[in-house]
Amino acid sequence: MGRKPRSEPYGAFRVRNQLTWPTRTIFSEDCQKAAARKAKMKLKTFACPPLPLGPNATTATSMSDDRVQFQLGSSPETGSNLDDGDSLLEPKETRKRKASPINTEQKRAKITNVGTSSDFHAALTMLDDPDDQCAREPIIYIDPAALSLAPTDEPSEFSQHALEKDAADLDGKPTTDDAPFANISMDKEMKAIAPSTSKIVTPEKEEIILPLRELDEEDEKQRLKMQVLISNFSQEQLNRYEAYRRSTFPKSAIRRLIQQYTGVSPGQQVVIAIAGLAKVFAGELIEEALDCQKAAEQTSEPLKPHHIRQAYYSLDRKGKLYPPKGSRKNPLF
Amino acid sequence: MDEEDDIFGSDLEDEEKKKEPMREEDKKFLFRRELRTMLYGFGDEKVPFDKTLETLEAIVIDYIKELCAKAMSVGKPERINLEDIHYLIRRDQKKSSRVKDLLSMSEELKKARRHFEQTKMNL
Repeated sequence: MGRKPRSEPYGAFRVRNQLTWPTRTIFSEDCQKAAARKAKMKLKTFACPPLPLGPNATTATSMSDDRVQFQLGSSPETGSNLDDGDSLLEPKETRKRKASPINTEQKRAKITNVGTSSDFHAALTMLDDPDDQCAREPIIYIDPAALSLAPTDEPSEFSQHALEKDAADLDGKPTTDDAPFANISMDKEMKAIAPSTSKIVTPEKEEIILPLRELDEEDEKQRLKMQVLISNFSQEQLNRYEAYRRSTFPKSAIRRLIQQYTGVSPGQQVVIAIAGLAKVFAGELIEEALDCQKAAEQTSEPLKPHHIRQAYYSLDRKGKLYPPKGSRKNPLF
Repeated sequence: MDEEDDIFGSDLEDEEKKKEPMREEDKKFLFRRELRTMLYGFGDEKVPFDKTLETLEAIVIDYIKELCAKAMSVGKPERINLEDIHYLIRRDQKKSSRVKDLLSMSEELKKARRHFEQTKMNL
């Protein structure tokens, strides 16, 4: 049937200790700092690519446009320039990878999810740096379609617009409605609106932002590492990453389930929370099952039910099933 | 027996799903397609076994149900509040940070959409 044996590269997804990437480390740190990322750090990221690619940045080939990017003209050749062993994966032949424009847009949009909240803050605080380079680059502010919150079955016109903006500027093609110029004016409008809101909440924001400034250093490092990692992915890995990021339980089904079981109709945020929890739980279960399978050295086939069951009991033993099952052991003893 | 309820529910709601024609089995269970994608995303093969999906789905649905049951017993009776969820999750760092992240993202999305609507109206 053409099932390939499991090979190293996408095993790297689950090599949690070696890569800073996967679920446990990056995600939790990401979450904690997501709401308070300082815009200036991000603007720096936009303006100056993290790698010394001064001359190369301008010679961004069309292939590099197809590559996953966080900022314009940045790091097209990360694959070749980074041999510092930061990524365990050998730099794949990323230049040979051909991606259709739609896929790249989606992926680009998807990938910028990592910096979405920071982009949003970038938009809000852009009043500080009116002539910052960022003003010219219509980076996707928020792309709802990219977030696991709002998967592909909920495209909003906002995300459409964001995708079109992206297409306009990075591929040099005219968008369906307007020239890129219109997009840029839209950005200015957004910024015009943004200052008004940020003025209102500025005092609080400053209080919040100040103590977190130190954290953003490692936050940025984290993001850069992510960028590097993702830009080195092969097609297979990108597919897998996309599946990981985009998969989510449908809110309608979850709401229905909760209603059936409890008779209470839950609020929207509750449904979002539970959907996210279910996904994290499923992820823990699957990863544990894959570990069991690896230990039993049966890695040539897909997971079997007995692996899953084994994983479930193993999680139980570790006390990770706590809500809703299992007793809460005192963490001090 | 719990899956019986789900089967009826999902059959009735089938027209609402605007997705590509699903396989026959997928119509009968709540989370088949999503679980398939998740399995792939978390490291399994592209085409998982059916039995694996069944087991996984049963476990996840059970998890959700137990979570809701606990949430009901905590805090306000007969209601599921966000605070209850936070309370139940607080020991699990990964999950609690994920929930916080999701909720803050949804807030930002709402704000952004509101701004977008305003700019649209102003234009």
